[in-house]
Amino acid sequence: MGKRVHHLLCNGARFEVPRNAKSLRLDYRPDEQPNVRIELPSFVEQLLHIPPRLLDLLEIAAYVYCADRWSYRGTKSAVEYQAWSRDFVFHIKVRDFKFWSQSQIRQKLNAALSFLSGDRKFEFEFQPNHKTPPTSLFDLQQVSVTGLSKTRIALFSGGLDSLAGVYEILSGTGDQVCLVSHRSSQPQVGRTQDQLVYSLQSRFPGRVQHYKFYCNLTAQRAAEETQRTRMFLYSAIATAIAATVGVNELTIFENGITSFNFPRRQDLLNARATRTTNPKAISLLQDLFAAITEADFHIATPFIWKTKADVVAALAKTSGSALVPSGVSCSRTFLSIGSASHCGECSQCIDRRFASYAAGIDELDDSVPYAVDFINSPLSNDEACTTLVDYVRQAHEFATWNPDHFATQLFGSISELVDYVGAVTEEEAYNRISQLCRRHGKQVMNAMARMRDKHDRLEQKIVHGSLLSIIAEREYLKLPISRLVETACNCLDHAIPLAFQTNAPKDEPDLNDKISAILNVDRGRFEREHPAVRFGLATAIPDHSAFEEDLVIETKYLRGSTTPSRASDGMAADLIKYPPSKHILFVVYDPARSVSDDEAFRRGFEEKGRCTVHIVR
Amino acid sequence: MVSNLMGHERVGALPKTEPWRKIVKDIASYDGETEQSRRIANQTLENVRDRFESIQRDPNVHAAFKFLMELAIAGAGGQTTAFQLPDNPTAFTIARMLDSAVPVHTGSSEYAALAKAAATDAIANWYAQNAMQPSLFGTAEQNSEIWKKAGSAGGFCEIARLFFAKFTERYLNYFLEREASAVSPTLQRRELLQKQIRDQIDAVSKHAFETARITQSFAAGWYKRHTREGVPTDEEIAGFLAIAFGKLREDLRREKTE
Repeated sequence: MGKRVHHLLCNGARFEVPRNAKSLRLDYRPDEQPNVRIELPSFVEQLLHIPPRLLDLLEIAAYVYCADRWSYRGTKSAVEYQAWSRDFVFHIKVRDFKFWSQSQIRQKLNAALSFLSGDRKFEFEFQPNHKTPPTSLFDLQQVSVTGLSKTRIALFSGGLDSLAGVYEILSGTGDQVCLVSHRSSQPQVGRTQDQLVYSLQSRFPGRVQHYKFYCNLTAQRAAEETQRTRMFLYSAIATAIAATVGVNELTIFENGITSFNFPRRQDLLNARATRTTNPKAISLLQDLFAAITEADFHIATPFIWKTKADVVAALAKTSGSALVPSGVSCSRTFLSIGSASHCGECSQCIDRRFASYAAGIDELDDSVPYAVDFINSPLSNDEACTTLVDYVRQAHEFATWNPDHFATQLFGSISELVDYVGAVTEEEAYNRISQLCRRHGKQVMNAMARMRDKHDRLEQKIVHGSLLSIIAEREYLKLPISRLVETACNCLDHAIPLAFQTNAPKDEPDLNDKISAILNVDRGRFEREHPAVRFGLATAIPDHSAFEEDLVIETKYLRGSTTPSRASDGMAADLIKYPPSKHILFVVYDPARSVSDDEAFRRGFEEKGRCTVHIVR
Repeated sequence: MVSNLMGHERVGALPKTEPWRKIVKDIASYDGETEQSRRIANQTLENVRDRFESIQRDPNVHAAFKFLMELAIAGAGGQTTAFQLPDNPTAFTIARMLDSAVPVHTGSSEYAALAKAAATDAIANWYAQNAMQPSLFGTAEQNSEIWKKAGSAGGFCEIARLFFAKFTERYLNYFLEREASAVSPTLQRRELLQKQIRDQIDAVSKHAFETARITQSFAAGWYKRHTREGVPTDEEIAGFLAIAFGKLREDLRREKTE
């Protein structure tokens, strides 16, 4: 399939562009008819001097970002998204020509950028003899800023993850922090970042520095908003700072669910679900930066095994919780949303609200001005509706899929990750990924239940098109454990009378053997007499358990000397034996109808919470 | 972090033309009737008829299928030019080998991603069907045994069948999932719709399997004939893809007209 190649001629590079190709000259230098803004001189001034190869890196990253924004990736309503993946050839004049011309460096650039963006190729043809004048009297090789060699360098967007990460460093260590931001033409984002940095500097005097790098297209409006290469620019800026001041590590704070970003629809191929902090992308960038800096360069991602709710909950426990409303997560701050700071319906806003409810800081987050309150108000368009519904659907699947199904459904996506998540074996990587997704799923389900409890008032009508109306049929509000209990009870109701229609169970162990077989007829989710649970000085062994679900099942067989009263004593003792995190399902087999008032029998226990009493006959 | 400044996912839509709008309308009003779901799938494939016919010629689809063939041959201990099973051929290892075997700089990146995904599905499903243990993590010996089974004519047929079926299923979902969530007024309804779509895709998949079964006898013969001397040539593989996809399309159309 023939693709039109995009040729980018940067820094005055020359190339005879083929007639069927598309081309654009890119330059930022004041005397060269600039059409992009790259504020390199003012950035260099902050660090006094940046080595030539790192200046090249900054320019390359800036030009790649500008080309990404210039080249349209096609309409969202195309039949197939064949225009999405582009072919770029960059012709760039550089200072360190010998280094950049190496084929392995060009291959590393192509590998990182193609994966990050979902484009087909990034070819680079470097040309020598690029020069820029010194930015100040101190812009000399032998001059450098001092006192930064023990600084933590972190990317800083102003969202909750980066805020929480930076706060964690500042409150938990004595380290200095250097925050790195890319600035484009969105003043609101810049203001938010500045306000947050100011708050951090006030709380931790002398420990927070903020480096900003300005870069955007100027001569024309950007045709493409997806900006999949922006992470390259962001991390290149941080790498340039790190290498200049003698630091070999930069830190990216992003939760694991967002980093993995498993596609929610089949059309989200080729990085249409962003790979910005995907572990493979991070690894490819790290590999590239290590080659450029000729050092053992490392990109740390300390939140990779946390969900957004985990991150928010941790921040909420610190004195930094007051900053939560100031953090801006929205991806659409460029839209006109009046006095609101968040659109309220992009995937980041949705994720943030669910995380806040899951972490129990909804009161704090509710003070954030959202243009659309999706819990109570209708979503404004189909795209928002798709985003919300698919977010909830995926979380629901994560919460309810058993491990084997999870593996089959996400096999392709997981196989791309297993080498890059720092696990020793594939099995360990898979287990950690699946456990993280499961926790996220449960947190979203819990958040949704909390949203309903808080906002669904009997005296008020549910607004059509809101989340409350979308989940009006309630099935999704049930906690995963409630659904599991319901499934188990339905199964037993149907099968136990059949199993014992001729011969009653000999004793309780016999009953439990049959129950075990019935519960596991579909898949081996329940275990028999496992595991031993220690509580105080006692050890309890449940008759059955689905321990991953925090569910234990205790069986009572009413007959002969095992009266309802004696069974009640046993059940009361069971309630004490298991830790509060476990839900207990009491299966009471009562073939002779010894319990005269089922409701009263059940109520006495269920009122205590954390247990369900199910009588089977 | 940085992703919060760029759309986290690009939400697609179906074209605004009448045939596609009709499909969206049909999805929204789907009432569970088999006939209606069949119509949605057939109409979708009809809307992309020329594209679907050209897929068999895509170099990435060719590469993904060739990988599965080489996997089958290598599993049986045969000689291939570029393929060697590792000492412990886990399902994940094989999937990663596939990733590097399908280049994205030629052909369509969209078809490359779909073909890779379908081949990965085939790998995972074959593994799950043939594993002695419930999980994806067997011993090196168990893993080798699983790919050895793939090396028979029957094994190859099954893997080929899985590939064609999964490719068709994913290609249909590539369109149908874009607006499914937006046209349902409640989550419950969307979930119902998802199930209905899944059933439909299931039906199409089974349909594809049926079709592939027609292909199976052809495939087994072809595999035996062409692998005696090693891996078939690219021309021979292209010929097989043309016939297999052709039979699949033919059967789907027959279904529509019957």
